[in-house]
Amino acid sequence: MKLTTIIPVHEMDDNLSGLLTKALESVVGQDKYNVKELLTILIPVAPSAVEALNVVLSKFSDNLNIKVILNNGNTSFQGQINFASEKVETEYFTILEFDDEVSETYYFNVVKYANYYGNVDIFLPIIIESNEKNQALKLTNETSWSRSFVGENGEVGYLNAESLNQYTDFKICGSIIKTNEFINGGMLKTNIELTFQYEFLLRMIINGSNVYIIPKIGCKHLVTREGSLFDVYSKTFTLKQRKFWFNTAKKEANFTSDREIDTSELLSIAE
Amino acid sequence: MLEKSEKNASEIENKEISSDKINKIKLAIAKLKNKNSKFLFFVTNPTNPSASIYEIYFHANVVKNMGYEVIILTDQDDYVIPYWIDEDLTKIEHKSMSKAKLNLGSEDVLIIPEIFTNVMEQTKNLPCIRIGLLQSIDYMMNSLVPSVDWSSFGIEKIITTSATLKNIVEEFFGKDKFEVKTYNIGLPEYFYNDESPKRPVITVVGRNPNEISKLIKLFYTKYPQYGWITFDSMITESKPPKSLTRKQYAERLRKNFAAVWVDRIASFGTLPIEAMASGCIPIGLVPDIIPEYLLEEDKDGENIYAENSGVWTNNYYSLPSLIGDTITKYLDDSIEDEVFDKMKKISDKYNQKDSSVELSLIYQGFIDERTIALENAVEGLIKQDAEVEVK
Repeated sequence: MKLTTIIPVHEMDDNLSGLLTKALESVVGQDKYNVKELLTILIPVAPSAVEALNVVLSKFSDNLNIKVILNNGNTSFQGQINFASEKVETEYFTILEFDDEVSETYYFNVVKYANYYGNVDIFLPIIIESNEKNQALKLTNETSWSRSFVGENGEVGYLNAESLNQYTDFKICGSIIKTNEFINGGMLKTNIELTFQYEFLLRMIINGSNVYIIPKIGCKHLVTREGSLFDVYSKTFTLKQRKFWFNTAKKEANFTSDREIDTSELLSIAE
Repeated sequence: MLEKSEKNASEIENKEISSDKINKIKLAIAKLKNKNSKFLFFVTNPTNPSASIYEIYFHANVVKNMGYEVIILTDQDDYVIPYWIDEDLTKIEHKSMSKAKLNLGSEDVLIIPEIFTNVMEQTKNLPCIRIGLLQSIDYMMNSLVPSVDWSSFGIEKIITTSATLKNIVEEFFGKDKFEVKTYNIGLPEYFYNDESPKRPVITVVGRNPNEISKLIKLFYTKYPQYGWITFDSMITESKPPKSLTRKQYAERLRKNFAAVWVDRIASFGTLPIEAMASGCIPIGLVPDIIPEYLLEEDKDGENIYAENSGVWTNNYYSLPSLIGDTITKYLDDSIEDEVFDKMKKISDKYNQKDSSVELSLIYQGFIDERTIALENAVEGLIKQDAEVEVK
């Protein structure tokens, strides 16, 4: 099965180059999947980062089929994924953050599960969240395999709206998404901060998409990188601000379009 | 004169008796040769699904397919045919022991499982072939009083499920006391593996519920990060839950990635074989009797544990760690293909096709043996009569 992986790049420096190199090395080191012939890597990049990016990519030109696409528009994480998704030519695309690494059997499992669960629109792998010392901190996305989490009427392995209403910590890094479903479902919303992943999953489920957790460690996600989006969120967002964004996500999940968010409440919280 | 006449009368009477006996035996021989023997299998009402009850039904069907009349004799009047056994296998006449009027000849066969020592005792004067069916040494010993074995009830023939059980019988009861036949049990074809991805769910089966409960608690305590892993006690999701049919059981095993098995007193252990056939990794406490499928010969002919046959330990308290390690390997996809290949190789040996052939040969062997014995008896009686006439 041919696949596309989107790696959004907004900025690039020596530290980030090192992380991206590791991410690409993890792709090269796949077991039971021919990445050279079957995989296209799409890297939407902000103009300011192109030069540094090309230096990194030059090391992989023999092993990977990489296409760099310049994004002059919104280069936030969401904006980059949305921009690249419209260039995807395969049925599914996967998301890999440049500071993450995929497991050796990641693509093998993508194919295996996509072939078996044709009814599924979004697959999330189990993620190991780690710090910069490469220490595992926790697992993420695994709870959908717990009967007590899914509830009596749910099916283990599948994410459902009822459980998402109670638990929000699901991440889309390493996710495998049906391209058409993603585009028609409204993509990622750039107007939502902090909770855009949560909003996306909730919206897709409300709209009838099936979200299934592949019960395999699919990728290692670096959560403590200095300066990362979520590092900024965790350091700067107060509890009230977080609550605002979760409430916003729950409300906006009922709308496909990326609506303007009334953030006046946030200003009063800040005051 | 009177004495001579009395002697003649007695000789005539003896000759008539002998002739009657010969005719009866000849009739029995004819029945044996024409497959008119009756096979009666005793079963007890099982509280839970049990591989041993399934096996009795399997034997009964093998014999039925050989062309013999088969009756299942139940120990209770209100015996309910087990729903969890395949319907095809239970389409056999059932009779309650208390109501069945047994009119058995030398050509008929009684198959008496180990728990029915009372039946062995009660039937010891019957002329039929009586076979002890040994699947569990524990059940056998539980139903025997000290210093007594099946030979006290006139049992001479035993069918058992493993060479290990045969060795135990010979070691403890005497080497030439019984004619012991062994065969490999056969798994139904619906125990198979397929390409479908396995779930992070662990089948858990054990004889002692307290041991299972303790094991699960110990596991969750040691591995809080795996608190989302489900242990499947293999019952329906209905309310109230019911035992799964054997087909449902096979389907569930095929979905789950591992099966924990704790049964210290198992004499064979069907679950690990079923799990292996289903591509579900057995994680087990090695029972007191090491299952023969866990052993293989090294280059010197010594028995050693078979590599890659699952995850096995002799220490109950190491099971939680082994479960945790196996989950980690499952999540990392680092379980080697050799494990699945070996599991398939081991379980392939236990198929119903081969098992049927083995059992058919065993039962036919008993029938042939009885036929020859009766033919010899007839020959002996005829010879005896001839000698009397010459005198």
